Amino acid sequence: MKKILLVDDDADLLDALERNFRPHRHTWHLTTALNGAEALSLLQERPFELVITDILMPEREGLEVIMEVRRDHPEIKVIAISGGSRKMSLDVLDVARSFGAHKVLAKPFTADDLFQAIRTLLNEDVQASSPEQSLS
Amino acid sequence: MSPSARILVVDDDATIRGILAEALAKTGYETLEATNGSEAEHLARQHEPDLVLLDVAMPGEDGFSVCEHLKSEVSTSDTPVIFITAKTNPAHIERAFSVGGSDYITKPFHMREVRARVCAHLDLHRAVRELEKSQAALLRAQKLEAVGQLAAGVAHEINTPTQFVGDNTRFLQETFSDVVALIETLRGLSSADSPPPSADQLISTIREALDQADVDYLLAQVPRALESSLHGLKRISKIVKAMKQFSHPGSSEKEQANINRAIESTTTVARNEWRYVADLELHLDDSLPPVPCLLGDLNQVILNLIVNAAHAIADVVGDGSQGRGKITITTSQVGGEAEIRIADTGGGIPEAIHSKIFDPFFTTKEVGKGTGQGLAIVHTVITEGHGGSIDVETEVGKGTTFIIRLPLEAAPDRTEAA
Ligand SMILES: Nc1ncnc2c1ncn2[C@@H]1O[C@H](COP(=O)(O)OP(=O)(O)OP(=O)(O)O)[C@@H](O)[C@H]1O
Ligand SMILES: [Mg+2]
Repeated sequence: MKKILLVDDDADLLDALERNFRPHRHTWHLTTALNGAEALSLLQERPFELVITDILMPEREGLEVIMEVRRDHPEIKVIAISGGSRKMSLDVLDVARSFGAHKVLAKPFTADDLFQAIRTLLNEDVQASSPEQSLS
Repeated sequence: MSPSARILVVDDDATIRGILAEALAKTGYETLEATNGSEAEHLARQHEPDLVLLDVAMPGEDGFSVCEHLKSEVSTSDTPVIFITAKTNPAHIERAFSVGGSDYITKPFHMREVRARVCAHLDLHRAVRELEKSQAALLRAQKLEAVGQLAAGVAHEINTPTQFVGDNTRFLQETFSDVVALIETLRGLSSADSPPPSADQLISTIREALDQADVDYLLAQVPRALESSLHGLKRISKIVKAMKQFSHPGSSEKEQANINRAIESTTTVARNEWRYVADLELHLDDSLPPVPCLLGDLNQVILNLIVNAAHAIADVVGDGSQGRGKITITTSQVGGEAEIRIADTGGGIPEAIHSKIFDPFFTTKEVGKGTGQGLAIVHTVITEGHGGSIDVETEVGKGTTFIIRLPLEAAPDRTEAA
Protein backbone atom coordinates (compact mmCIF):
# COMPACT_ATOMS: atom_id res chain seq x y z
CA MET A 1 0.00 0.00 0.00
CA LYS A 2 1.37 3.44 -0.97
CA LYS A 3 1.66 5.95 1.83
CA ILE A 4 0.56 9.50 1.17
CA LEU A 5 0.95 12.55 3.38
CA LEU A 6 -1.54 15.40 2.92
CA VAL A 7 -0.68 18.80 4.41
CA ASP A 8 -3.04 21.77 4.63
CA ASP A 9 -3.72 24.33 7.33
CA ASP A 10 -7.46 24.12 6.82
CA ALA A 11 -9.02 21.34 8.89
CA ASP A 12 -12.25 21.37 6.87
CA LEU A 13 -10.28 20.87 3.69
CA LEU A 14 -8.25 18.02 5.17
CA ASP A 15 -11.43 16.26 6.34
CA ALA A 16 -13.19 16.72 3.03
CA LEU A 17 -10.30 15.37 0.99
CA GLU A 18 -9.89 12.51 3.44
CA ARG A 19 -13.51 11.53 2.82
CA ASN A 20 -12.78 11.40 -0.88
CA PHE A 21 -9.82 9.14 -0.22
CA ARG A 22 -12.03 6.69 1.67
CA PRO A 23 -12.96 4.55 -1.37
CA HIS A 24 -9.23 4.18 -2.11
CA ARG A 25 -8.33 3.04 1.38
CA HIS A 26 -7.12 -0.32 0.10
CA THR A 27 -4.63 1.21 -2.33
CA TRP A 28 -3.48 4.36 -0.57
CA HIS A 29 -2.85 4.98 3.08
CA LEU A 30 -3.50 8.62 3.86
CA THR A 31 -1.98 10.58 6.75
CA THR A 32 -2.82 14.24 7.30
CA ALA A 33 -0.93 17.14 8.89
CA LEU A 34 -2.24 20.62 9.73
CA ASN A 35 1.00 22.51 9.16
CA GLY A 36 4.50 22.33 7.78
CA ALA A 37 6.18 21.65 11.11
CA GLU A 38 3.91 18.68 11.81
CA ALA A 39 4.50 17.38 8.27
CA LEU A 40 8.26 17.59 8.57
CA SER A 41 8.31 15.67 11.83
CA LEU A 42 6.03 12.97 10.35
CA LEU A 43 8.41 12.71 7.41
CA GLN A 44 11.29 12.04 9.78
CA GLU A 45 9.36 9.34 11.60
CA ARG A 46 8.17 7.19 8.74
CA PRO A 47 8.41 6.69 5.03
CA PHE A 48 5.99 8.13 2.49
CA GLU A 49 5.82 7.68 -1.24
CA LEU A 50 4.01 10.94 -1.94
CA VAL A 51 3.47 14.29 -0.25
CA ILE A 52 0.62 16.64 -1.15
CA THR A 53 1.14 20.06 0.39
CA ASP A 54 -0.55 23.42 0.53
CA ILE A 55 1.87 26.30 0.00
CA LEU A 56 0.81 29.18 2.19
CA MET A 57 0.50 28.06 5.79
CA PRO A 58 1.34 29.54 9.16
CA GLU A 59 4.07 27.65 11.04
CA ARG A 60 6.46 26.93 8.19
CA GLU A 61 5.28 27.29 4.68
CA GLY A 62 4.71 24.55 2.17
CA LEU A 63 7.71 25.71 0.18
CA GLU A 64 9.89 24.70 3.09
CA VAL A 65 8.26 21.30 3.16
CA ILE A 66 8.92 20.89 -0.54
CA MET A 67 12.51 22.00 -0.14
CA GLU A 68 13.25 19.62 2.72
CA VAL A 69 11.50 16.71 1.06
CA ARG A 70 13.45 17.24 -2.14
CA ARG A 71 16.68 17.49 -0.20
CA ASP A 72 16.27 14.70 2.37
CA HIS A 73 13.96 12.30 0.54
CA PRO A 74 14.51 12.80 -3.17
CA GLU A 75 12.54 9.62 -3.92
CA ILE A 76 9.30 11.09 -2.55
CA LYS A 77 6.98 12.63 -5.14
CA VAL A 78 5.49 16.03 -4.38
CA ILE A 79 2.21 17.62 -5.39
CA ALA A 80 1.73 21.28 -4.47
CA ILE A 81 -1.80 22.65 -4.02
CA SER A 82 -2.68 26.28 -3.53
CA GLY A 83 -5.60 28.64 -3.59
CA GLY A 84 -3.58 31.53 -4.99
CA SER A 85 -1.09 33.94 -3.67
CA ARG A 86 -0.90 36.76 -1.23
CA LYS A 87 0.37 39.00 -3.96
CA MET A 88 -1.15 39.24 -7.39
CA SER A 89 2.23 39.50 -9.00
CA LEU A 90 3.36 36.13 -7.78
CA ASP A 91 2.12 32.74 -8.87
CA VAL A 92 3.02 30.56 -5.92
CA LEU A 93 2.44 27.40 -7.91
CA ASP A 94 5.14 28.44 -10.36
CA VAL A 95 7.41 28.98 -7.42
CA ALA A 96 6.48 25.58 -6.01
CA ARG A 97 7.35 23.99 -9.33
CA SER A 98 10.71 25.67 -9.33
CA PHE A 99 11.27 24.35 -5.80
CA GLY A 100 10.87 20.86 -7.19
CA ALA A 101 7.17 19.99 -6.94
CA HIS A 102 6.40 17.30 -9.53
CA LYS A 103 2.88 18.48 -10.07
CA VAL A 104 0.88 21.54 -9.05
CA LEU A 105 -2.88 21.92 -8.65
CA ALA A 106 -4.70 25.20 -8.18
CA LYS A 107 -7.61 25.19 -5.74
CA PRO A 108 -10.36 24.50 -6.41
CA PHE A 109 -9.44 21.27 -8.18
CA THR A 110 -11.57 18.14 -8.39
CA ALA A 111 -10.74 15.02 -6.45
CA ASP A 112 -10.46 13.26 -9.80
CA ASP A 113 -7.72 15.68 -10.89
CA LEU A 114 -5.88 14.89 -7.70
CA PHE A 115 -6.31 11.13 -7.99
CA GLN A 116 -5.17 11.21 -11.60
CA ALA A 117 -2.05 13.12 -10.57
CA ILE A 118 -1.36 10.65 -7.78
CA ARG A 119 -1.74 7.66 -10.09
CA THR A 120 0.56 9.20 -12.65
CA LEU A 121 3.25 10.04 -10.13
CA LEU A 122 3.05 6.64 -8.43
CA ASN A 123 3.09 4.90 -11.81
CA GLU A 124 -0.29 3.35 -11.18
CA ASP A 125 -1.66 4.41 -14.51
CA VAL A 126 -3.13 1.24 -15.91
CA GLN A 127 -3.27 2.45 -19.48
CA ALA A 128 -0.44 4.89 -18.94
CA SER A 129 -2.28 7.20 -21.28
CA SER A 130 -2.10 10.33 -19.24
CA PRO A 131 -2.54 13.27 -21.56
CA GLU A 132 -0.53 15.39 -19.17
CA GLN A 133 3.19 15.06 -19.42
CA SER A 134 4.02 18.16 -17.46
CA LEU A 135 5.90 16.30 -14.79
CA SER A 136 8.95 17.96 -13.29
CA MET B 1 -2.97 86.80 -14.49
CA SER B 2 -6.26 84.95 -14.45
CA PRO B 3 -8.52 86.55 -17.03
CA SER B 4 -11.33 84.04 -16.74
CA ALA B 5 -11.96 84.70 -13.06
CA ARG B 6 -15.22 86.19 -11.80
CA ILE B 7 -14.98 88.80 -9.05
CA LEU B 8 -17.75 90.13 -6.84
CA VAL B 9 -17.22 93.73 -5.72
CA VAL B 10 -19.23 94.76 -2.65
CA ASP B 11 -19.32 98.39 -1.49
CA ASP B 12 -22.14 100.76 -0.56
CA ASP B 13 -20.18 103.65 -2.02
CA ALA B 14 -21.00 103.76 -5.73
CA THR B 15 -17.80 105.63 -6.63
CA ILE B 16 -15.44 103.16 -5.00
CA ARG B 17 -17.42 100.22 -6.35
CA GLY B 18 -17.27 101.71 -9.83
CA ILE B 19 -13.52 102.33 -9.71
CA LEU B 20 -12.80 98.82 -8.52
CA ALA B 21 -15.12 97.12 -10.96
CA GLU B 22 -13.96 99.10 -13.93
CA ALA B 23 -10.28 98.59 -13.20
CA LEU B 24 -10.74 94.87 -12.70
CA ALA B 25 -12.85 94.54 -15.83
CA LYS B 26 -10.14 96.30 -17.80
CA THR B 27 -7.65 93.78 -16.50
CA GLY B 28 -9.83 91.08 -18.01
CA TYR B 29 -11.86 89.87 -15.04
CA GLU B 30 -15.58 89.39 -15.15
CA THR B 31 -17.12 91.54 -12.43
CA LEU B 32 -20.33 91.57 -10.41
CA GLU B 33 -21.38 94.41 -8.15
CA ALA B 34 -23.40 94.48 -4.94
CA THR B 35 -24.32 97.53 -2.87
CA ASN B 36 -25.10 95.79 0.42
CA GLY B 37 -24.66 92.57 2.39
CA SER B 38 -27.79 90.71 1.46
CA GLU B 39 -27.38 91.52 -2.23
CA ALA B 40 -23.77 90.30 -2.00
CA GLU B 41 -24.79 86.99 -0.46
CA HIS B 42 -27.51 86.54 -3.03
CA LEU B 43 -25.15 87.19 -5.97
CA ALA B 44 -22.45 85.00 -4.47
CA ARG B 45 -24.85 82.10 -4.12
CA GLN B 46 -26.15 82.58 -7.63
CA HIS B 47 -22.91 83.16 -9.53
CA GLU B 48 -20.26 81.51 -7.33
CA PRO B 49 -17.52 84.11 -7.89
CA ASP B 50 -13.86 83.12 -7.68
CA LEU B 51 -13.10 85.98 -5.31
CA VAL B 52 -14.97 88.63 -3.30
CA LEU B 53 -13.78 92.19 -2.62
CA LEU B 54 -15.75 93.19 0.44
CA ASP B 55 -16.26 96.53 2.16
CA VAL B 56 -16.59 96.29 5.95
CA ALA B 57 -18.70 99.24 6.99
CA MET B 58 -22.00 99.17 5.13
CA PRO B 59 -25.51 100.10 6.20
CA GLY B 60 -27.34 96.99 7.40
CA GLU B 61 -25.24 93.86 7.51
CA ASP B 62 -21.53 94.64 7.81
CA GLY B 63 -18.77 92.97 5.79
CA PHE B 64 -17.62 90.69 8.62
CA SER B 65 -21.06 89.19 8.94
CA VAL B 66 -21.35 88.77 5.15
CA CYS B 67 -18.04 86.96 5.17
CA GLU B 68 -19.18 84.63 7.97
CA HIS B 69 -22.29 83.78 6.00
CA LEU B 70 -20.31 83.07 2.83
CA LYS B 71 -17.93 80.85 4.75
CA SER B 72 -20.74 78.81 6.25
CA GLU B 73 -22.24 77.95 2.88
CA VAL B 74 -20.90 74.99 0.97
CA SER B 75 -20.90 76.71 -2.42
CA THR B 76 -18.95 79.75 -1.21
CA SER B 77 -17.01 78.48 1.80
CA ASP B 78 -13.77 78.19 -0.18
CA THR B 79 -14.07 81.50 -2.03
CA PRO B 80 -11.31 83.91 -0.99
CA VAL B 81 -12.58 87.15 0.52
CA ILE B 82 -10.44 90.33 0.53
CA PHE B 83 -11.68 93.11 2.80
CA ILE B 84 -11.40 96.72 1.72
CA THR B 85 -11.88 99.16 4.55
CA ALA B 86 -10.84 102.49 5.95
CA LYS B 87 -10.38 101.09 9.45
CA THR B 88 -6.80 100.22 10.26
CA ASN B 89 -6.68 99.26 13.92
CA PRO B 90 -5.15 95.85 14.67
CA ALA B 91 -8.22 94.41 16.42
CA HIS B 92 -10.21 95.16 13.33
CA ILE B 93 -7.68 93.50 11.06
CA GLU B 94 -7.56 90.51 13.34
CA ARG B 95 -11.33 90.22 13.15
CA ALA B 96 -11.14 90.25 9.35
CA PHE B 97 -8.98 87.13 9.39
CA SER B 98 -10.90 85.39 12.15
CA VAL B 99 -14.16 85.50 10.21
CA GLY B 100 -12.41 83.77 7.32
CA GLY B 101 -11.03 86.66 5.28
CA SER B 102 -7.98 85.93 3.15
CA ASP B 103 -6.56 89.44 3.03
CA TYR B 104 -7.10 93.06 3.99
CA ILE B 105 -6.62 96.24 1.99
CA THR B 106 -6.96 99.69 3.54
CA LYS B 107 -8.53 102.70 1.94
CA PRO B 108 -7.34 104.78 0.28
CA PHE B 109 -5.96 102.04 -1.91
CA HIS B 110 -3.82 101.93 -5.01
CA MET B 111 -5.39 100.04 -7.85
CA ARG B 112 -2.04 98.37 -8.57
CA GLU B 113 -2.00 96.92 -5.09
CA VAL B 114 -5.60 95.69 -5.39
CA ARG B 115 -4.82 94.02 -8.70
CA ALA B 116 -1.67 92.39 -7.34
CA ARG B 117 -3.45 91.03 -4.27
CA VAL B 118 -6.43 89.79 -6.27
CA CYS B 119 -4.15 88.03 -8.68
CA ALA B 120 -2.07 86.47 -5.89
CA HIS B 121 -5.12 85.14 -4.06
CA LEU B 122 -6.67 83.73 -7.20
CA ASP B 123 -3.41 81.91 -7.94
CA LEU B 124 -3.15 80.66 -4.38
CA HIS B 125 -6.71 79.45 -4.40
CA ARG B 126 -6.19 77.65 -7.67
CA ALA B 127 -3.02 76.00 -6.36
CA VAL B 128 -4.81 74.77 -3.25
CA ARG B 129 -7.56 73.33 -5.40
CA GLU B 130 -5.05 71.52 -7.59
CA LEU B 131 -3.42 70.13 -4.50
CA GLU B 132 -6.75 68.91 -3.16
CA LYS B 133 -7.51 67.31 -6.47
CA SER B 134 -4.21 65.48 -6.65
CA GLN B 135 -4.60 64.38 -3.07
CA ALA B 136 -8.00 62.92 -3.88
CA ALA B 137 -6.50 61.23 -6.92
CA LEU B 138 -3.74 59.75 -4.78
CA LEU B 139 -6.31 58.42 -2.35
CA ARG B 140 -8.27 56.82 -5.17
CA ALA B 141 -5.14 55.33 -6.71
CA GLN B 142 -4.04 53.79 -3.44
CA LYS B 143 -7.51 52.44 -2.87
CA LEU B 144 -7.55 50.80 -6.29
CA GLU B 145 -4.14 49.31 -5.65
CA ALA B 146 -5.28 48.04 -2.26
CA VAL B 147 -8.43 46.52 -3.72
CA GLY B 148 -6.33 44.87 -6.44
CA GLN B 149 -3.97 43.39 -3.93
CA LEU B 150 -6.82 42.34 -1.67
CA ALA B 151 -8.50 40.63 -4.60
CA ALA B 152 -5.63 38.15 -4.72
CA GLY B 153 -6.04 37.46 -1.02
CA VAL B 154 -9.80 37.25 -1.28
CA ALA B 155 -9.54 34.76 -4.15
CA HIS B 156 -7.36 32.67 -1.92
CA GLU B 157 -9.83 32.90 0.93
CA ILE B 158 -12.67 31.83 -1.34
CA ASN B 159 -10.81 29.06 -3.16
CA THR B 160 -10.20 26.99 -0.06
CA PRO B 161 -13.83 26.69 1.08
CA THR B 162 -14.88 26.22 -2.55
CA GLN B 163 -12.47 23.31 -2.68
CA PHE B 164 -13.82 21.53 0.35
CA VAL B 165 -17.47 22.24 -0.33
CA GLY B 166 -16.86 20.60 -3.72
CA ASP B 167 -15.07 17.64 -2.14
CA ASN B 168 -17.82 17.17 0.42
CA THR B 169 -20.50 17.33 -2.24
CA ARG B 170 -18.72 14.73 -4.31
CA PHE B 171 -18.44 12.54 -1.23
CA LEU B 172 -22.16 12.91 -0.56
CA GLN B 173 -22.92 12.06 -4.15
CA GLU B 174 -20.92 8.84 -3.98
CA THR B 175 -22.39 8.10 -0.61
CA PHE B 176 -25.86 8.43 -1.96
CA SER B 177 -25.21 5.89 -4.70
CA ASP B 178 -23.92 3.49 -2.04
CA VAL B 179 -27.07 4.07 -0.05
CA VAL B 180 -29.18 3.49 -3.13
CA ALA B 181 -27.39 0.16 -3.68
CA LEU B 182 -28.12 -0.76 -0.08
CA ILE B 183 -31.78 0.09 -0.49
CA GLU B 184 -31.96 -1.99 -3.68
CA THR B 185 -30.55 -4.97 -1.80
CA LEU B 186 -33.08 -4.57 1.00
CA ARG B 187 -35.86 -4.18 -1.53
CA GLY B 188 -34.75 -7.37 -3.29
CA LEU B 189 -34.88 -9.20 0.01
CA SER B 190 -38.37 -8.05 0.74
CA SER B 191 -39.77 -8.72 -2.73
CA ALA B 192 -42.20 -11.58 -3.08
CA ASP B 193 -40.63 -12.94 -6.28
CA SER B 194 -37.63 -14.62 -4.70
CA PRO B 195 -38.04 -17.58 -2.37
CA PRO B 196 -37.96 -16.47 1.25
CA PRO B 197 -34.39 -16.78 2.54
CA SER B 198 -33.51 -18.40 5.81
CA ALA B 199 -32.94 -16.12 8.78
CA ASP B 200 -29.21 -16.79 8.62
CA GLN B 201 -29.09 -15.99 4.94
CA LEU B 202 -31.08 -12.85 5.54
CA ILE B 203 -28.80 -11.64 8.25
CA SER B 204 -25.64 -12.33 6.32
CA THR B 205 -26.95 -10.67 3.17
CA ILE B 206 -27.93 -7.59 5.13
CA ARG B 207 -24.60 -7.49 6.90
CA GLU B 208 -22.76 -7.78 3.65
CA ALA B 209 -24.82 -4.99 2.13
CA LEU B 210 -24.26 -2.75 5.14
CA ASP B 211 -20.55 -3.47 4.92
CA GLN B 212 -20.52 -2.82 1.23
CA ALA B 213 -22.12 0.55 1.79
CA ASP B 214 -19.57 1.37 4.52
CA VAL B 215 -22.52 2.31 6.68
CA ASP B 216 -20.76 3.04 9.96
CA TYR B 217 -18.41 5.39 8.18
CA LEU B 218 -21.29 7.08 6.39
CA LEU B 219 -23.28 7.53 9.57
CA ALA B 220 -20.33 9.25 11.16
CA GLN B 221 -19.17 11.27 8.18
CA VAL B 222 -22.28 12.41 6.31
CA PRO B 223 -23.42 14.79 9.04
CA ARG B 224 -19.90 16.16 9.32
CA ALA B 225 -19.64 16.66 5.58
CA LEU B 226 -22.94 18.52 5.54
CA GLU B 227 -21.96 20.68 8.46
CA SER B 228 -18.57 21.45 6.97
CA SER B 229 -20.15 22.43 3.65
CA LEU B 230 -22.58 24.80 5.33
CA HIS B 231 -19.68 26.25 7.26
CA GLY B 232 -17.71 26.66 4.03
CA LEU B 233 -20.60 28.41 2.31
CA LYS B 234 -20.90 30.73 5.28
CA ARG B 235 -17.21 31.55 5.00
CA ILE B 236 -17.60 32.36 1.33
CA SER B 237 -20.62 34.58 1.82
CA LYS B 238 -18.97 36.35 4.74
CA ILE B 239 -15.98 37.34 2.68
CA VAL B 240 -18.06 38.31 -0.32
CA LYS B 241 -20.20 40.53 1.91
CA ALA B 242 -17.15 42.04 3.54
CA MET B 243 -15.60 42.75 0.16
CA LYS B 244 -18.76 44.48 -0.92
CA GLN B 245 -18.77 46.57 2.21
CA PHE B 246 -15.09 47.34 1.94
CA SER B 247 -15.24 48.44 -1.67
CA HIS B 248 -18.26 50.61 -0.82
CA PRO B 249 -18.03 53.36 -3.43
CA GLY B 250 -17.46 55.88 -0.67
CA SER B 251 -19.80 58.80 -1.05
CA SER B 252 -18.29 62.24 -0.73
CA GLU B 253 -20.79 63.03 2.01
CA LYS B 254 -20.31 61.78 5.53
CA GLU B 255 -22.78 59.18 6.70
CA GLN B 256 -23.56 57.85 10.15
CA ALA B 257 -21.63 54.62 10.15
CA ASN B 258 -21.12 51.66 12.41
CA ILE B 259 -17.36 51.68 12.86
CA ASN B 260 -17.30 48.23 14.45
CA ARG B 261 -18.80 46.73 11.35
CA ALA B 262 -16.34 48.58 9.14
CA ILE B 263 -13.51 47.11 11.20
CA GLU B 264 -14.98 43.62 11.00
CA SER B 265 -15.39 43.72 7.25
CA THR B 266 -11.96 45.23 6.64
CA THR B 267 -10.22 42.65 8.81
CA THR B 268 -12.14 39.89 7.02
CA VAL B 269 -11.17 41.16 3.60
CA ALA B 270 -7.57 41.63 4.68
CA ARG B 271 -7.35 38.29 6.49
CA ASN B 272 -4.81 36.97 4.03
CA GLU B 273 -2.52 39.88 4.87
CA TRP B 274 -2.18 39.01 8.54
CA ARG B 275 -3.23 35.46 9.22
CA TYR B 276 0.10 33.84 8.46
CA VAL B 277 1.98 35.91 10.99
CA ALA B 278 -0.49 37.06 13.59
CA ASP B 279 -3.63 36.37 15.55
CA LEU B 280 -6.25 39.06 15.53
CA GLU B 281 -8.20 40.14 18.57
CA LEU B 282 -11.15 42.50 18.27
CA HIS B 283 -12.51 44.32 21.30
CA LEU B 284 -15.33 46.28 19.77
CA ASP B 285 -17.54 48.34 22.03
CA ASP B 286 -21.12 47.48 21.09
CA SER B 287 -22.45 50.63 22.68
CA LEU B 288 -20.39 52.87 20.41
CA PRO B 289 -22.82 55.26 18.70
CA PRO B 290 -22.75 55.73 14.92
CA VAL B 291 -19.88 57.94 13.79
CA PRO B 292 -20.24 60.49 10.98
CA CYS B 293 -17.64 59.37 8.48
CA LEU B 294 -16.58 58.76 4.93
CA LEU B 295 -16.85 55.01 5.13
CA GLY B 296 -14.78 54.14 2.08
CA ASP B 297 -11.91 56.30 3.29
CA LEU B 298 -12.13 54.96 6.81
CA ASN B 299 -11.99 51.37 5.55
CA GLN B 300 -8.82 52.29 3.73
CA VAL B 301 -7.33 53.79 6.88
CA ILE B 302 -8.01 50.63 8.83
CA LEU B 303 -6.59 48.51 6.02
CA ASN B 304 -3.39 50.58 5.83
CA LEU B 305 -2.87 50.26 9.58
CA ILE B 306 -3.53 46.51 9.58
CA VAL B 307 -1.12 45.93 6.71
CA ASN B 308 1.53 48.00 8.51
CA ALA B 309 0.96 45.99 11.70
CA ALA B 310 1.23 42.71 9.80
CA HIS B 311 4.45 43.85 8.13
CA ALA B 312 5.94 44.95 11.45
CA ILE B 313 5.07 41.59 12.98
CA ALA B 314 6.39 39.66 9.98
CA ASP B 315 9.72 41.46 10.40
CA VAL B 316 9.90 40.05 13.92
CA VAL B 317 8.48 36.54 13.56
CA GLY B 318 9.74 35.82 10.05
CA ASP B 319 7.77 33.14 8.24
CA GLY B 320 6.01 32.04 11.41
CA SER B 321 8.59 29.55 12.67
CA GLN B 322 9.45 32.12 15.34
CA GLY B 323 5.94 32.03 16.79
CA ARG B 324 3.14 34.41 15.98
CA GLY B 325 2.41 38.02 16.78
CA LYS B 326 -0.83 39.66 17.75
CA ILE B 327 -2.89 42.51 16.36
CA THR B 328 -5.47 43.95 18.72
CA ILE B 329 -8.14 46.37 17.58
CA THR B 330 -10.18 48.12 20.21
CA THR B 331 -13.01 50.62 19.88
CA SER B 332 -14.51 52.75 22.61
CA GLN B 333 -16.13 56.07 23.28
CA VAL B 334 -13.91 58.64 24.92
CA GLY B 335 -15.80 61.82 25.72
CA GLY B 336 -17.33 63.15 22.53
CA GLU B 337 -15.09 61.03 20.36
CA ALA B 338 -14.91 57.48 19.07
CA GLU B 339 -11.50 55.92 19.65
CA ILE B 340 -9.96 53.17 17.55
CA ARG B 341 -6.75 51.57 18.75
CA ILE B 342 -4.76 49.31 16.48
CA ALA B 343 -1.97 47.64 18.42
CA ASP B 344 0.68 45.25 17.15
CA THR B 345 3.47 43.22 18.69
CA GLY B 346 5.92 44.18 15.95
CA GLY B 347 9.35 45.70 16.39
CA GLY B 348 8.20 49.24 17.18
CA ILE B 349 9.27 52.45 15.48
CA PRO B 350 12.79 53.78 16.22
CA GLU B 351 12.83 57.24 17.77
CA ALA B 352 14.86 58.63 14.87
CA ILE B 353 12.02 58.18 12.38
CA HIS B 354 9.02 59.06 14.61
CA SER B 355 8.62 62.44 13.01
CA LYS B 356 8.79 61.06 9.47
CA ILE B 357 6.34 58.19 9.37
CA PHE B 358 3.40 60.34 8.28
CA ASP B 359 5.39 62.01 5.52
CA PRO B 360 4.32 61.06 2.01
CA PHE B 361 6.71 58.54 0.48
CA PHE B 362 8.62 57.90 3.68
CA THR B 363 9.19 54.16 3.88
CA THR B 364 11.69 51.76 5.41
CA LYS B 365 10.39 48.91 3.30
CA GLU B 366 11.97 47.41 0.25
CA VAL B 367 10.71 48.32 -3.20
CA GLY B 368 7.55 46.40 -3.95
CA LYS B 369 6.53 46.03 -0.33
CA GLY B 370 5.84 49.64 0.53
CA THR B 371 5.71 53.03 -1.11
CA GLY B 372 5.34 55.15 1.99
CA GLN B 373 1.89 56.45 1.14
CA GLY B 374 -0.04 54.46 3.71
CA LEU B 375 0.30 56.66 6.78
CA ALA B 376 0.26 59.91 4.79
CA ILE B 377 -3.18 58.93 3.52
CA VAL B 378 -4.25 57.79 6.98
CA HIS B 379 -3.27 61.19 8.35
CA THR B 380 -5.07 63.17 5.65
CA VAL B 381 -8.24 61.13 5.91
CA ILE B 382 -8.40 61.32 9.69
CA THR B 383 -7.43 64.94 10.27
CA GLU B 384 -8.69 66.71 7.16
CA GLY B 385 -11.45 64.36 6.13
CA HIS B 386 -12.90 63.79 9.59
CA GLY B 387 -11.55 66.53 11.87
CA GLY B 388 -10.10 63.75 14.03
CA SER B 389 -6.68 63.01 15.39
CA ILE B 390 -4.11 60.25 15.15
CA ASP B 391 -1.39 59.43 17.66
CA VAL B 392 1.25 56.76 17.97
CA GLU B 393 2.58 55.00 21.01
CA THR B 394 5.53 52.79 20.25
CA GLU B 395 8.33 51.00 21.97
CA VAL B 396 11.20 49.38 20.12
CA GLY B 397 11.14 45.64 20.68
CA LYS B 398 7.60 45.70 22.08
CA GLY B 399 5.23 47.01 19.46
CA THR B 400 3.21 49.94 18.24
CA THR B 401 -0.28 51.30 18.83
CA PHE B 402 -1.98 53.76 16.51
CA ILE B 403 -4.77 55.69 18.20
CA ILE B 404 -7.43 57.32 16.09
CA ARG B 405 -10.06 59.65 17.49
CA LEU B 406 -13.07 60.72 15.49
CA PRO B 407 -15.58 63.33 16.63
CA LEU B 408 -19.04 61.86 17.20
CA GLU B 409 -20.70 65.07 16.12
CA ALA B 410 -20.11 65.99 12.49
CA ALA B 411 -17.31 68.57 12.55
CA PRO B 412 -18.72 72.09 12.51
CA ASP B 413 -17.68 74.27 9.63
CA ARG B 414 -14.08 75.19 10.13
CA THR B 415 -14.75 78.92 10.21
CA GLU B 416 -17.27 78.54 13.00
CA ALA B 417 -14.74 76.47 14.88
CA ALA B 418 -12.18 79.26 14.58
N1 LIG C 1 2.92 49.34 12.96
C1 LIG C 1 4.16 49.73 12.63
N2 LIG C 1 5.26 49.24 13.28
C2 LIG C 1 6.50 49.63 12.95
N3 LIG C 1 6.78 50.53 11.98
C3 LIG C 1 5.76 51.07 11.31
C4 LIG C 1 4.40 50.71 11.58
N4 LIG C 1 3.60 51.41 10.76
C5 LIG C 1 4.41 52.17 9.99
N5 LIG C 1 5.71 51.97 10.31
C6 LIG C 1 6.88 52.65 9.69
O1 LIG C 1 6.42 53.79 9.02
C7 LIG C 1 6.79 53.74 7.63
C8 LIG C 1 5.75 54.43 6.81
O2 LIG C 1 4.54 53.69 6.81
P1 LIG C 1 3.52 53.86 5.61
O3 LIG C 1 2.34 53.00 5.87
O4 LIG C 1 3.28 55.30 5.38
O5 LIG C 1 4.32 53.35 4.37
P2 LIG C 1 4.74 51.87 4.00
O6 LIG C 1 3.99 50.90 4.84
O7 LIG C 1 6.21 51.80 4.04
O8 LIG C 1 4.25 51.75 2.48
P3 LIG C 1 2.73 51.68 1.94
O9 LIG C 1 1.82 51.80 3.12
O10 LIG C 1 2.57 52.82 1.00
O11 LIG C 1 2.62 50.36 1.27
C9 LIG C 1 6.98 52.27 7.35
O12 LIG C 1 7.84 52.04 6.27
C10 LIG C 1 7.55 51.76 8.66
O13 LIG C 1 8.93 52.02 8.76
MG1 LIG D 1 1.85 50.99 5.00
